[in-house]
Amino acid sequence: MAFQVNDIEKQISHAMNIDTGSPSTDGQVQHLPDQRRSAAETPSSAFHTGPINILIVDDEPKNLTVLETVLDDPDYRLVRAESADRALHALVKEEFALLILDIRLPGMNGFELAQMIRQRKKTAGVPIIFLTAYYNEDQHVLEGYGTGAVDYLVKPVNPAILRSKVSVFAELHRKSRALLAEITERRRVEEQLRELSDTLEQRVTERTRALKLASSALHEAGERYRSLFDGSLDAIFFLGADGRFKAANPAALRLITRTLEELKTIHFLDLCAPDQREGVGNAFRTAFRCQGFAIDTAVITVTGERRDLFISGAPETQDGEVVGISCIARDITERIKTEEALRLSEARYRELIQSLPAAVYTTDERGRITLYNQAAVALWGCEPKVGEDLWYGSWNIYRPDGTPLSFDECPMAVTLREGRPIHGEEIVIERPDGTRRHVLPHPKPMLNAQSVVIGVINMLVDITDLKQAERAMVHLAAIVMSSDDAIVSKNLQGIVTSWNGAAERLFGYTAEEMIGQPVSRLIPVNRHNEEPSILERIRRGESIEHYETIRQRKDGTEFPVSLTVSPLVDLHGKIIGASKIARDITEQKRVEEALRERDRTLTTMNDTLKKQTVALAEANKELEGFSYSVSHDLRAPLRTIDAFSLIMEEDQGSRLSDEGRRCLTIVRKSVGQAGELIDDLLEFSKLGRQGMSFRLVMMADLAREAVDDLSIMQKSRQVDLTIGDLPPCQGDRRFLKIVWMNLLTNAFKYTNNRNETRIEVGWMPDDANAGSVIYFVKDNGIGFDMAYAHKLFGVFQRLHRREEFEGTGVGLAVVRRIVQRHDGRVWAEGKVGEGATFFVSLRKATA
Amino acid sequence: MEILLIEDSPEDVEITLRAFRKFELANKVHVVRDGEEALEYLFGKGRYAGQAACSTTRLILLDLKLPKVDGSEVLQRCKSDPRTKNIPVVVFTSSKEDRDLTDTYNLGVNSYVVKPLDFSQFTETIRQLSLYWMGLNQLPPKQTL
Repeated sequence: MAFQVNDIEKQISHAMNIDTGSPSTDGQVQHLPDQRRSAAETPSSAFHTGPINILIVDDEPKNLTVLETVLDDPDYRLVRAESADRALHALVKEEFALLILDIRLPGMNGFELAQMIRQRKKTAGVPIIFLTAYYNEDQHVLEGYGTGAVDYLVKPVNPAILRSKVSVFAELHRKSRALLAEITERRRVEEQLRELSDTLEQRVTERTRALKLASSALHEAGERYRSLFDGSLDAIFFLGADGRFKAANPAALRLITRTLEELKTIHFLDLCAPDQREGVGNAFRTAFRCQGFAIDTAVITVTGERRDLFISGAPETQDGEVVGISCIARDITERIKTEEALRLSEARYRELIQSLPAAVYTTDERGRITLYNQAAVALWGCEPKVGEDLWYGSWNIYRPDGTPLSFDECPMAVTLREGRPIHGEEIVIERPDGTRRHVLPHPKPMLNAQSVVIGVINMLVDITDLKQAERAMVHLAAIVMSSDDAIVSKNLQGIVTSWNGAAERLFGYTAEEMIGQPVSRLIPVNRHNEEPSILERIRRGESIEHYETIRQRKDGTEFPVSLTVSPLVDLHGKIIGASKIARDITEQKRVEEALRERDRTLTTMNDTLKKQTVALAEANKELEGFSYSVSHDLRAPLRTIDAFSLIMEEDQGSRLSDEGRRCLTIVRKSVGQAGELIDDLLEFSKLGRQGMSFRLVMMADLAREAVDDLSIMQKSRQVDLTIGDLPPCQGDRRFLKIVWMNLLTNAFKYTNNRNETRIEVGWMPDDANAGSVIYFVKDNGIGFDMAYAHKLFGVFQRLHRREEFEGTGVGLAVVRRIVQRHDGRVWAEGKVGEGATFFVSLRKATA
Repeated sequence: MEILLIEDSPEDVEITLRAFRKFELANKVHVVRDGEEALEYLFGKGRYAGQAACSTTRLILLDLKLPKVDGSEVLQRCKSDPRTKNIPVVVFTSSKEDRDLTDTYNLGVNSYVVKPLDFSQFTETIRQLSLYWMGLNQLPPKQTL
């Protein structure tokens, strides 16, 4: 409809343009969008503004040329005709504004031609000018005018006059042509306007009819909406862009408990419960983004009551712009309350079921599980799928005697089938893990109002533990009877209530003799005060454990016992007596005494050992002090002796005899030896005192290092020394170097008189001890007699005279000391004159 | 006096002075016989009141086992006093104990020399000591003392 209106308006505006505007300068009329007009009807030829056609007729071409020369003007188009026939042809073909006609023509003369032109309707209006040189009498002139000529000119004609006359007719023609065009155009526009007016009228009629229909429908709808709006139980209201109320239905006013006038001054958010404002604000913003919304929220009424609302809203738009929000709100306060109450009730119900210690579950009428508690899960050993698993799940069931029970026979199936409750028929269920439980099912049908079974509620009571307890009781009784410990029970008055076999054997009384008698019969007279205090502690609920005392047999002999007394309680937890376990500890006492005796001996020994350790530490300390004194104090006088011997030699040398000087030399040499001895002794004593740190020692490197150190001293000698690919060992590097130094020093020393010295440092596995490795130093020196081999490693032991080989006899003692401290072994092999080999076995390096 | 010899043994004093005499340094040696006297001499106390020798002493030869004040204490006092800490102290002793060596080095001794038993070597040692500490060793400038 809107489009049609627009269409009409467009057409009207076109028509107006044409009506008020003038024809365009080129004389072309703007075409209307009228399909009915054809191009043929357009009088295009009539509106030519180009040159004006002038027909010139003369039988003398020369005269025509003269005319063309005179009338040469871009506004004129001259058409030549040399006879009347030709002139008529030209006139039929096109339109002329003026004819300039010669009278004397071959055949039809000018007058006759003019008459024919006048008689043809189409050419009757064309002005004719006669031009002649011969017909110059008045009668000719009159005849000329008589044919309707507009002028009659006699040659010779003044060209200016001719041009002027022609231009008058040209102008006349031009004006009449324009007038004609204008008239034609007006007619056409009028026609068009009439047509348009007809169309418009028709459309207006149509629209009026449609509007009438719409208006009536609208009215009807309006009425419907109005009644809906007024009668709706849901609150309906409209808010403006500012969030204030524009309109509200009675339900809304009831809900919000305000009049419409009051509401119109209020912003909706002011009504909202404070905790809801943000949510509502967000929803409104959604609406202003041209989207609908639906939210649960709450408002506060005049009386301060909170009402829960469900509001759905939609943007109200005008010209594509949101100008307000239309809302429908439903009071859901009651519904929420009901739901909450229902939820609480449901939760309480479920909680109740869950908190039951017994397994409880329900099924529908087909036996599918609808609800179960955790106790049921614990009993079944698996979690059932609600609505899918059947009441018996996947486990097997048995009779109490262990024979299989079919599912159809079990109490649950019977209740489902027959609709009657069953109580206390014991069954055994097997869980997924294979364990079995004894249970008492209590299925009870759930009926609807029509007494039709709609499900079953079942409670399973697990009696496995109870049965086990029963069995345990029987076992315990058997144990008590067969126990080697005397087990006796008594009441709070100290009267014996039970008496086992071991008690008979221990005390010599039979059960018949003791039951009903006071327990004090067993207590020696001097210990009678023990019983009341034991009973007192039992009454307080305390236990007495391993209380050692003396008891008396029937024959009067006394013996040591260990008592454990515990309160006996009845089903209600009330203490009703005591159980007493008595054990003869005669043997135990004897052993304990023996142990104590040994303890005492050990303590004494330990004390002695401690004293010895202290003494040893002191002795060590003294030794240290001693070594220090030796180091310092013993050396000082030696130095003095040496110095003064030399001073004597220097100062008094000239007065001394040769013998005197020799004596002095001996004195000084002895001093030197004493010094060496002191140094070696100190070194040796240090070995025992210094701590060692065991690490991985690269023995090949260490041996080479020792050789390098010694080579400085042995520079002058040629020695063929080889060091094998020695494996590493576990030991103290510092001390092991001393070992190498001493062994190598010996090797160098005792090969002193050989022409070719050969020393081999090598290794071999230790066959006696797989965890060790043997290193050796072999020389080709003077060797030794194996008969004295045991003396080699003693302190100050020498196998050679001092004049032969230097040394104090401490070196190998040092080697042995160090190797011993490594838990290793050292030994030597040799032969006089053929060299010696020294072996050292040490722990292999642990990887 | 440029050299302070702290030595309780009269024999050792004689031997040492004889060695110094060989290099014509004996007249530069002052001998004290115990630790107490050494400290009095250096700091101008007691017997040496008013004539502290710390500024003139260029080398201290110190025995460790001394009556009254022990050698290591003398060393400690010298090394902790700004007036004497830059005087080189050479411990000159019979002791070969590792413990003595470590202790005195911890106290800041400049050199630890064991008295050789052989007198020829003894003399040579004295010569080298004086040469090194009196001649070759460059001391810090006086003004920093």
